[in-house]
Amino acid sequence: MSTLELIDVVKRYASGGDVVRAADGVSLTIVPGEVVALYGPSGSGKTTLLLLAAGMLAPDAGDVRFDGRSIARLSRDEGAHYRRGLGFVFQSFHLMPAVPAIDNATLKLLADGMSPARARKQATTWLARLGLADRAHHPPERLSMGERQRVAIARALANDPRLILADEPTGSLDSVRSRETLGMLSRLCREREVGMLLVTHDRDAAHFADRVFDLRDGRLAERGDHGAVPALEVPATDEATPA
Amino acid sequence: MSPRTLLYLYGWRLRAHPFKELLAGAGIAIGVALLFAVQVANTSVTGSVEQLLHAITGKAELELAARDAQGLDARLLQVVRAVPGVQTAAPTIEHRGVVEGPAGSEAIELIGVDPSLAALDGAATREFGSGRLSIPARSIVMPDRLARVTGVEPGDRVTLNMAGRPHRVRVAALLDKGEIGSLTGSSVAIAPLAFAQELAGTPGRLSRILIRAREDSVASVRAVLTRLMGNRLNVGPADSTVRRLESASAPNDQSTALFSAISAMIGVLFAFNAMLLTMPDRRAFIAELRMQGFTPWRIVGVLGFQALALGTMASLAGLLLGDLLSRSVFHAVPTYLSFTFPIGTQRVVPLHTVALAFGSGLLASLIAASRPLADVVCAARSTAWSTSAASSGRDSTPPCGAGCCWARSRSCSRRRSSSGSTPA
Repeated sequence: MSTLELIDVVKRYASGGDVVRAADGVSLTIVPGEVVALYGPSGSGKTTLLLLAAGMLAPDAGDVRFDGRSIARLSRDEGAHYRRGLGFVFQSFHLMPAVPAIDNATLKLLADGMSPARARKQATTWLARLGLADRAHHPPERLSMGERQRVAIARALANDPRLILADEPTGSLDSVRSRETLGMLSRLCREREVGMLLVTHDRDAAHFADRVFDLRDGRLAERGDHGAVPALEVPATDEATPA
Repeated sequence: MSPRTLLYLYGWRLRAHPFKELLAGAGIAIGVALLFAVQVANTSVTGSVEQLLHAITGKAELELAARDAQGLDARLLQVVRAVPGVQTAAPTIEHRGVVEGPAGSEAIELIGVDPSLAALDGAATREFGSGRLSIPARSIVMPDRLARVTGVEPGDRVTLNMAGRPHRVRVAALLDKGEIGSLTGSSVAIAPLAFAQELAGTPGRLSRILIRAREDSVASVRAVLTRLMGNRLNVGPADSTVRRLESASAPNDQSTALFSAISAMIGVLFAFNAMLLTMPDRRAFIAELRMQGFTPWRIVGVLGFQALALGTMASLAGLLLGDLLSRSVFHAVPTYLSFTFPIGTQRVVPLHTVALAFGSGLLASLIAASRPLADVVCAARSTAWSTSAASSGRDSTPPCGAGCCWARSRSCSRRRSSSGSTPA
């Protein structure tokens, strides 16, 4: 079971003479196929939780576990191996400028040790599934924002991740593209039994999540009225259902 | 990680940041070029003399040399040959002069030889001993480069100004690379011993007697010669002239060494500053690689390969540029040396000079790349900075400071664990 568990996690930062509690006893479980949305104002600790889940930060107290194993105790190499099993989607896409979409989508596969030729072949399949077959050889500068995010999603999903961590994935998109992207991500997660932690400001995101949490001053509170079933009309995309 | 993948990722970098990469490469290339050109120019001064003298002295270990321009008495040759342990004693006369042909003139070293010199197996004289080459009486031979400069053909007569008088002498043959090797670049002319003595105005006199001793007899022969003639003649190693040149050119060498060091520093500074321009995107790239699951050593491999690739290409370009500079800008010979020593025009490029310049380029590239590499080592598990850098696409100084280095990596980790930036 690829389950992520945050157990009573505490993370503090020193800021000037003060101590900021970015995570203050946070407990959260994400099971496979579940989409969890995390809301909160700037500075509330959303990205810290994401980094803790990614194993990029170690908690000051509590534990972060994946598949029952504490990721805070992983060595550097084990941490890298753990992150290879995660898919990351960011607001600013993190695509290499001037590098064609097909090459950008191979990065995760290269981290897995795949040869560039095989990685390109696999990335091509994913770009086609996300409706970017005819844009595969275009660099990010020649793609729309929505297309760039789809390239980033192709990169995140190319090696069949066990968990997706999305940090404001719709922050650079208009409302139509936002819904399209969220719909695509949530559908893929459910179909492929992959959990997703979605950090967002986007009000529409709640409609695509199974559970919604508010994070304020490092403390987590679950909303009861988020609407687990998407109530909004999601624009159709030309992506095929991934195998 | 396979070389193919490393090349593939470097291709990304070249596509994404061609101008910055070009700038960094240009900085390294300029430094390498300056270092190489200065080194070659300096090495060529002593190297050309060394080549010329070694081509004459061959396997001789000792020499008996006159202390003034009047030379030494040729009859001493028989005395030397009679010393126990002497295998070969060959007389030479060397005299500076100027050869004038229809196309131009050039200062030369006239070397008078006799057949016994061939026994020393020097590159310039061994062919005379084998019988393949002979110099007719009252003639000279010269390298074909010198003949081209002066516009002389075999059989022509040239004017040889020696000892204050002009002499019309016949050029019997031209020597090419197959006969005298790299000496084709030297400004020398070779004549039979007696004729050279006549031209120099010193009949019956010699400049040096070159001596090859039997095995294990070098010390004893030297001791005997010193005892017999040490009070009026110089007894020393056959390469004494080169050692004297090294002493004479020491001030020049020192300034060259200083200039080389400055060139190397300029190269490193150019490279370092140019690489600094690439720091933000390198850091963002590192952050991305870490996030995507590349291990620290794989990241070091990727960045190290990129630094080596840049250093290699830039150093090769620098060597080519340096070669051009050494031919066009740094080819002048200090006049005070050329009056005294037979400095040739050939460029001497020892392997160690190439290796030094190339290695310096690689080192500059690696040093310049070491800052983001240090970040990888220093990063430990905390990458709040890297995430914010990557997500914003701008440089973000890690909590421990950009100057974080390998030696400070432990203290950086400690500081990270107790404090940090606030990413959320």
